[in-house]
Amino acid sequence: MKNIGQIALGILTAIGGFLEVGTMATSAQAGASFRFSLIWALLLGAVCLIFLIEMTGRHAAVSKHSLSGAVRERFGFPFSVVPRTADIIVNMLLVGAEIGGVAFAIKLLTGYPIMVWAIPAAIVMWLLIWLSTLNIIEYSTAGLGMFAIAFIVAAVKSHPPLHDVARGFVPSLPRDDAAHYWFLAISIIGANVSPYMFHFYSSGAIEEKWDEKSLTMNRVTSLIGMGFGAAIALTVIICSAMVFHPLHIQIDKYEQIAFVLVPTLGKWGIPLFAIILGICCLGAACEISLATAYELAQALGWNWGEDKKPKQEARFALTYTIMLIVGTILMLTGIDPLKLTMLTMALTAVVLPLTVIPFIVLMNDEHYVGKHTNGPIGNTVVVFTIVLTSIVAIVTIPLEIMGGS
Amino acid sequence: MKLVNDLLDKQLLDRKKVKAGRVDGIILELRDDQPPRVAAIESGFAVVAARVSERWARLAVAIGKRLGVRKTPRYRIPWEKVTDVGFDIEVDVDGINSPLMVWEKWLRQHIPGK
Repeated sequence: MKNIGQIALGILTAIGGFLEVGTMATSAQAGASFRFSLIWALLLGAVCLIFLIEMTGRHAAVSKHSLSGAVRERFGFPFSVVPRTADIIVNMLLVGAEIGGVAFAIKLLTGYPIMVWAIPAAIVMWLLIWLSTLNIIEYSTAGLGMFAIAFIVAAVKSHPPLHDVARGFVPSLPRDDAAHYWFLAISIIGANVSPYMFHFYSSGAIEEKWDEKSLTMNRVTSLIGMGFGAAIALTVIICSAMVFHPLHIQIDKYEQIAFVLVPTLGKWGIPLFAIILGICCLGAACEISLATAYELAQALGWNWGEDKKPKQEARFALTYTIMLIVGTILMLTGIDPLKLTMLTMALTAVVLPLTVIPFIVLMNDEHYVGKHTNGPIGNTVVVFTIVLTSIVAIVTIPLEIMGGS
Repeated sequence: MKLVNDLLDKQLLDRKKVKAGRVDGIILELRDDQPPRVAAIESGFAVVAARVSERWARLAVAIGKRLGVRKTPRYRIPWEKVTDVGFDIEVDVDGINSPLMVWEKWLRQHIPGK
């Protein structure tokens, strides 16, 4: 049962990273504009993520200390205040985008506008977090997230040219519209490798009382959870490339993405897309709100835990409540959800190095991880990710101006 | 003991092992002809804010006064009350009835339900 719980935590973490509104938007845009050419960006993000998530779980299981807490203990408050503040701001925007995703999904099914559904969607999310436990959120979202397998079915049924798909795994230079190409590449990385995933996974591992015996399962969970998420994101690119690219359709509205399953799944395409988007965005919004509460509580030393009654962890409960309120207000301003999503994905890429840099110290500190320090391969991946995310952070803003949609 | 490594920013646990904040600052007592000694540890947003800049500290104090929940922006725990210095720092203080968790207590009183 504990093993199933571990895998559910991995799948929910992956849903927050791979199957939410950001991945849907960036993958659909990538497929429509550049066919299979940006699959490599997804693969790159997924490989980095599998390693980093495994490290996060290992750190939590061995040290019993959260990532956010360890960063403050090891680097001090003046350092930790920078990534924590940046994360909180970006997470607020992300929660807004996810609430927009759920509201858009309901709009697809009912026809009523997004603004009508933003408040009810946020109330459902809040009730889910307030009334239930981490396990219930994990099992329900991970279970319902299996609807996303519809994308795999659609991708297979669309009979993509496998040779072209395989070529997409190798990085290539764009023939035209280079700024938009690179903007989408970093947005895909930003949409997949998100700082809140590490805080959520780390805190979930502590809540579920992982120990050194959990390390093998942690490896499996990282691989299965993130692998599942990456596979679905890959099929979104394939479906979008097969449906939109031949028609020269550039994605600039969520309404366009909704048609991605229609050619292969017929009349079930739009309802299925709406259900997948709604479930995944709901799970992601819960994950991001909780991750922010975990992150803040751990950095400031508050008592925390999703499995305890909200009144016992009042500051923790207040934090995720505020996150959902701010996200809802963002949606009620009438901001375009797709524009908000794309902006947030790029900003996520900007703050990413601040989260990844501490890994190189924490995962080699025997005080925390005992004999389970990183090996040469793990350290190489961390250094590579730091370099990659730093480059991405530097070029994001110029590319946002030149190539953002 | 290395003060910055082993004490500063570590998790504070009260006498019931409840997470009650972090060691935000350390107070040293300078003594004539003797090495300095740790007199107290400090907790409070004004303390950590001061470690970033004095302007932040003033802002934290001003906001704290305006909100009026926490009476003392800095809470000092005498070193004699520190019972263990390990991975976490344990103190002989009742967290929920001390300034360490005054916000937590205020919120618990204002949140409906059990």
